[in-house]
Amino acid sequence: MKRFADLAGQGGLVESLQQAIKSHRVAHAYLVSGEAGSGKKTLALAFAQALLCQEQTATVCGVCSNCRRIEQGTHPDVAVIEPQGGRIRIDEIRTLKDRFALQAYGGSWKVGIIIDAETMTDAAANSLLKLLEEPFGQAVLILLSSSPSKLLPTIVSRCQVVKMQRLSRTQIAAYLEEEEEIPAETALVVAGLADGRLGRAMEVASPKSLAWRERVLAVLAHEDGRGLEALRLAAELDDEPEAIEFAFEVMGSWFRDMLLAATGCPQELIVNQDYFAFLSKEGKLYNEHAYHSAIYQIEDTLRAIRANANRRLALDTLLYLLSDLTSFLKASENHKYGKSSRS
Amino acid sequence: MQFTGMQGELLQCLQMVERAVATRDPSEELTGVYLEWSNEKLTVRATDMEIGIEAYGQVQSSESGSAVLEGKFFVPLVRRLPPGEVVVKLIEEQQMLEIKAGTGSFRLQTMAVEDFPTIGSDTKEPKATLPSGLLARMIRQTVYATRKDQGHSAFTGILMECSSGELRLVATDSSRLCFNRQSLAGGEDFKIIVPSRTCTELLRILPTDTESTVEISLVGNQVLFSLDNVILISRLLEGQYPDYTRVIPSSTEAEIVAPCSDLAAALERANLMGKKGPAIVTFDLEEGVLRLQSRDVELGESEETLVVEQQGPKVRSSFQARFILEMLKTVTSEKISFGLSNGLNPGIIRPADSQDYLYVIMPVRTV
Amino acid sequence: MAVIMHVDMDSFFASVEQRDRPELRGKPVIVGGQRESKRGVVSTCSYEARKYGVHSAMPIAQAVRLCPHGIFIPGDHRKYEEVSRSIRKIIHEFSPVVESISIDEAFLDMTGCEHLYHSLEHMGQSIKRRIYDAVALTASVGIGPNKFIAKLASDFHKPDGLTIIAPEEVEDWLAPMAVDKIWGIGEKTAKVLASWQIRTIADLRRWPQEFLTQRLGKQGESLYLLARGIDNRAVEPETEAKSMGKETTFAEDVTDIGKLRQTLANLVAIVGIRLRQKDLWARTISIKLRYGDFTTISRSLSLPEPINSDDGIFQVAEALLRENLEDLPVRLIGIYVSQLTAFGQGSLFTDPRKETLTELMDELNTRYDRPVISKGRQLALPKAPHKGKEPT
Repeated sequence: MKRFADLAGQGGLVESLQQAIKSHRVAHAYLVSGEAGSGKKTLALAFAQALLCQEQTATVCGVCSNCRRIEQGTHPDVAVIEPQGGRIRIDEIRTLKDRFALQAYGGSWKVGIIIDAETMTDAAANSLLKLLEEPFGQAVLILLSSSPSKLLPTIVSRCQVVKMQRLSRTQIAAYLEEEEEIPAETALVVAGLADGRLGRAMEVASPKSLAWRERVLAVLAHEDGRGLEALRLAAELDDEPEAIEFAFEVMGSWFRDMLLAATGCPQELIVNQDYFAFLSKEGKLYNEHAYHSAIYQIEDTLRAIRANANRRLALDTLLYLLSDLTSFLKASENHKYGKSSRS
Repeated sequence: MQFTGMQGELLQCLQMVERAVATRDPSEELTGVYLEWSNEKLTVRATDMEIGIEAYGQVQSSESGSAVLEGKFFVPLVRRLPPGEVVVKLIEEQQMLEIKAGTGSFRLQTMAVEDFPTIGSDTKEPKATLPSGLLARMIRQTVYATRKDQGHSAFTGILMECSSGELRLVATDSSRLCFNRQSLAGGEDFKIIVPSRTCTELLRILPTDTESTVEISLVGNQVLFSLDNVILISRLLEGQYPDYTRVIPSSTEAEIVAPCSDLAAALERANLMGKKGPAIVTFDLEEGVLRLQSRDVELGESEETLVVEQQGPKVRSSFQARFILEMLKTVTSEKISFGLSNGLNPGIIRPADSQDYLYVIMPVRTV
Repeated sequence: MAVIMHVDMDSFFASVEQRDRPELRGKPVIVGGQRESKRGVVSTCSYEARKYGVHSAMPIAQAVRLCPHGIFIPGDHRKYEEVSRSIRKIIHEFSPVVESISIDEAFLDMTGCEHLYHSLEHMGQSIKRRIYDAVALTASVGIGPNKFIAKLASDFHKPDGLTIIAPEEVEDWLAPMAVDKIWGIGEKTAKVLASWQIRTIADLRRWPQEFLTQRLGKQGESLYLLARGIDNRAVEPETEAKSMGKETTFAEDVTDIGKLRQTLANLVAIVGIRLRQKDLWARTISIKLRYGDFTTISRSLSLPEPINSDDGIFQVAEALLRENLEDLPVRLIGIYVSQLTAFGQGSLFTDPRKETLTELMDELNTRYDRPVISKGRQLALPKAPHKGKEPT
């Protein structure tokens, strides 16, 4: 995640930033907006690298000591500030000011990156405002936010606003394949789950996330009802609640895929490509209504869990139902279409 | 991979770099001291990315090597070793450094050596070269007037400016201003603001003997001070230095010449008249008699007179005693000249025999 | 036994005017406002005007009715300050323990110093002469064993009087005086006392302490003692005010930062002028904020050198506001200055024209006793949409 090339699909954006560097028109402050996981931090770090790269070609060589130090988070001219306990407080902004009072170590740019800028306290935001009004030397501030409307309008008006683009699935997949050396098939699945957000794709591509996906699909992608398996998964998720959102995404994607397969849509729309054979065979067994109700069930349960419902109970119920739903639907559909049920 | 050196020499190197060791560092490597030895030469280096110091010593080594050691433990250890020979050996496979001195033997865990930053530059071209004792004196005669608060302004540093054949050092906190100049053969033009911390560290390593010289170079955005056995590199302060020439008055209404020590002693006494705030001393000058008065509502008051050489009419002006004392302490000449004007116009103090060290001081308004 | 001296300048402002403008001498001079002034009050009047019943704190309009041919002058406070400063200097030469009560009055604790003079009479005359020689104005002086007696004594013969009351004379001297001569007895208390047939200090002495304390509380207790000429208050030397401040509670909680800044600027202007009038500088600036939920914070910053300009104070106060405003709405905002010093360090880099401007503004604002000139930041701006937070 350290090169402008990484920002495949942010082409126009990257180009305009590179152009700014080349033509010496770098703004004092940028506000990068985009959903969580859309690659804001990647863009900010890559921009910092492009500014400071010793090759000085407005790109990122990735090997010079500046590029490496920025990647490691130890470059003296690049300060990254993020919320501590949910907020960015004034002390963080003061530290930034202290660092900006000195001329750049490397002799060119100083970069301050503020992650989740909307979490700044009023005091922090007002202190930052002073820095935006009276910039110290050759310095760039990059504010990142997924909800820029929560920022002080006076701050926003002093920043050049940059909006992250959604990437196409093939762009993300290609990047994962080339840069992260992820097998083509997995890359395509991950890209589908990431829904246009490169940062999200990187999270999904982690071995841990991929393992969770396997666990979820082990329950869903089987011809037999797997009630016991389902309850075991519910227990595991209850122990590791931070995995719940992702597990639900996988479940959702699975029934969407079944729905798509049922309607006979082209293969490239399927997220879980690696199960395509299964999906195209099994998906046609049930009617659309069944999949819709499964998807609603998943969404409702997630909402309930977010609203502090009894988590374990909700997970048990949903997963058992989904695993059972499969056999239930199968039985009823078989009956409907007069096919023999499999034992 | 080992070297043999004298405890005194090793300690001297470490003490020079000690203050540049980072106290906090997210990646921890900068809390270390870097050692490198090859042939006869030992290099010791530390940096916190604001300043970096590298010192050189003499050792005997058969095979070159390098290691990074936690500064907080290594320096105190060497300080406590008995004088005499120290044998230092790197045991690479265990990532340990073994130190033998006297009958003692110590093994310290080493830190990652690869990423320790280098400092300095092979391609430096000195902008100015001058005796190190002279630079030390110029810094001593300016650094005390820098602003001490936690601000971020250029006032927290010393302006070092070289042009038209002279080097000038300027410091001010806006209540007073120090100006120091020295003509210099072959200097190149530059203008930088050096953080006062860097200057204080420089004073610690600049030898005051007459032979050694120091070179000032600019490396990228940083300033490099090079001596024979040590170099110091520092980042510079951002910002524009105010136009100091505007605030140095070309003349004053009256001028006195007085023995520096007599005036300092009288001011030391007057300076006691400040219980809660700083002591204010009023200079009343008339016909060669300088009357110094100070008063504290709660403590009492002081008054004494000095006979001085006076030029010009009678004048009266009040100052913070401390500000004048700080300056007088840095004067090496026997006599000082003090230019005074009435009211709120600044005074100028300088050594009586020199125009190269000027101290401009603003009076205080009193009731 | 203590020896306390009270020095009171005779109709101070009016006398300064008469001194500087000979054509006013012997005429009823009333300082405080123009004849047309509707809201002004008399701050001082000459003895000639007093004959017509004019006295200080009386509305100007009433003074015009009583003394139609009086000469009405708005007054030049800067000049009076200047003169007062010279007088204070002299007073300080007489005693290290001086308590200035106002611009034209001071107590001196002369205990132990009286031996430097032939007599108390000589001491009193000396200070009167020194003051007259320096500023050509007369003072009335009272000398007694405590502050209460000294002040009554200075008032005994006015103008240009000197009254000395020895400790053994106190009781007899006080006896026939009206009770309202006692400090702290206003019209209201005087009426209450009159209802008990207490009109003179001798009357007062006939009542037991318990009676007075029961009916008048703490005041009753001190009346009992004062009636006997007992006053244990010490002369408190210029322990210059330790802090000054001004705060304001909004009629409605404020959610607009622009409005807070503007209010702060106004408060700074008030505190700033007070500092400068007293020739004080402050090293510590604090702000106080009370939020809608009544939580209150105060934050301060200490400076390397003391300041007293509105600009300087506002700059610090605004930074404190900016960096510490935790929440909106705000219910109360205040500014305080402390660590006060009697000197101000000059700055090499400030524009002297700015200081002149400040002096001019102060003069006008003091003269009219209300802000007639203010800075842009004190004005309410048309509601600026970028000042507050947008609802999200």
